[in-house]
Amino acid sequence: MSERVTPLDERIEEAQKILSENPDDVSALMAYGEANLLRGRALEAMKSYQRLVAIQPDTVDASLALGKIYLDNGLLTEAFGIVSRVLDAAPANIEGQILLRRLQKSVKNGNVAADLEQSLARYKDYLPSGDELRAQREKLEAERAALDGEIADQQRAVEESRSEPAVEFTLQMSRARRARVEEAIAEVEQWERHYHALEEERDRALREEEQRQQEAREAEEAERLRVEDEERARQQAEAEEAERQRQEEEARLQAEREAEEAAAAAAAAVNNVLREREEAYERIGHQLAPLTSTLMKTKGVIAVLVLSRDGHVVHKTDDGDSSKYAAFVTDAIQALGSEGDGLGVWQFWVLEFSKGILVLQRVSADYYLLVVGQAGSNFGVLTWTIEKNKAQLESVLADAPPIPEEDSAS
Amino acid sequence: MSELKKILENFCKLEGVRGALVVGSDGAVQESFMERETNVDTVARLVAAGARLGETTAGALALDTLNQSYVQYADVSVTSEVLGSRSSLVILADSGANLGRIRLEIRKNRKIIEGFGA
Repeated sequence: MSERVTPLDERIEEAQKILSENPDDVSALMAYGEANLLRGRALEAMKSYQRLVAIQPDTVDASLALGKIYLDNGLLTEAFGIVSRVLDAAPANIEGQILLRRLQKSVKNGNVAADLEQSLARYKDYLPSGDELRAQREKLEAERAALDGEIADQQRAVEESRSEPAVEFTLQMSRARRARVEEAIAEVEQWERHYHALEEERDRALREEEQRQQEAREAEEAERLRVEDEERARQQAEAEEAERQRQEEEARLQAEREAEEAAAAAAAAVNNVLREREEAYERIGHQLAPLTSTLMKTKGVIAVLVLSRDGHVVHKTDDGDSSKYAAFVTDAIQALGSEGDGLGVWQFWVLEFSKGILVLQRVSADYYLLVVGQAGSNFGVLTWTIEKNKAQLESVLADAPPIPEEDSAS
Repeated sequence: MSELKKILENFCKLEGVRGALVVGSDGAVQESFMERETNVDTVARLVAAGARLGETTAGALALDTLNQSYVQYADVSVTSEVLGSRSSLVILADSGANLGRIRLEIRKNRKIIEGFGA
């Protein structure tokens, strides 16, 4: 039984005829490859495309057709070699990208060398620009429209010329071509979706970045205002502190001035009192002199002094330093205590030392008589003589100015 | 009754003597015997204060050391003898008591009392 001669067979025969005369005829190699591929003779098609690509390496259609045959037959590394060469030259090549997707799926599902997987990875994130996508889509849609017109014409021609192999072959080729264009459009649409998603993502990221920058600016502004507020508050606090210190210093100086004035007034008052007392003591001293002279005549007596409770010398029988006697009198009054001690008011105090004797006679609450004697003085005679003259002493000192309590403290 | 207390009691056999006591330089009563109720702590404090002033005055007026002190109050006298350890033997007596006799007894008993560590 003889086989029916198909348009493809005729096409193959025609191409063979050309190639037998000119093996490097590019158009014939292309036609031979396409026809054999449609005929299902992948090996023959592959050989034809391989020869064509060897002659013209930049032939995209032949390269892609060869790459598809490699891929269909599991020759993934060879397919990648073809696809990478096409895409490196034209990254936006739709059919190249379609082939790449299929290759990536095959690699993902199959057991392949790691270096091929790595090599594929560099194409993973490729996305044409918006302009490229629009241009691709316009081109593909124009091609599809043109093919639709051609297919319609070829369909009518086939119907009119019944069993004309060349017409039928052309129709098949056009349909195949249209299918590839449709597939390419689908790929472009997929890219567009991806592109739009990326654009949205980019817009969103942009908005987020703007938002972030806005927040950063606001935070920066808030921080600047906070720092300014702090600085203002610090300056205010410093000013207040300075004012407070100034007021304190002013108050301190005022208090010092007042204290100095008060001290000066008090000192003046004290001086007035002292002056008045000195005047009174000078007057009284003349009256005391005969009495102290009598005491000085007692055996062993070397000095007689009349002192006030606060240590002022009212009268004394010698010109020596009396400050130590004055200190003794004030300390003695302190040491012997007051009536509250339960022993009553002390009258006199005799202290016998190795080198002398002191007799302190209380004349009144404010005035005292101190007799200084040599060691071994008869203090019985001494106290008797003092007692004998005590009434006169009291009488004279009754005119002496009283000693205010505050004066005794000083 | 301690020996020291007996000696102090013997002072009270003198006419007009109300009591006797030994006072440390810090004013603490070391021993005492009183014929009548007396605030010995007050007396001790006054004696110690007087002794301190006496020491200071002795230095200030170049009088060497204080040996004895006699204070006459309204109705009582306080005679105090400074002992070797700077304690004081104190005799409280009525105003009319024989001071010469008291001083003599003090002189007689001083060494004995110092023998008790006073």
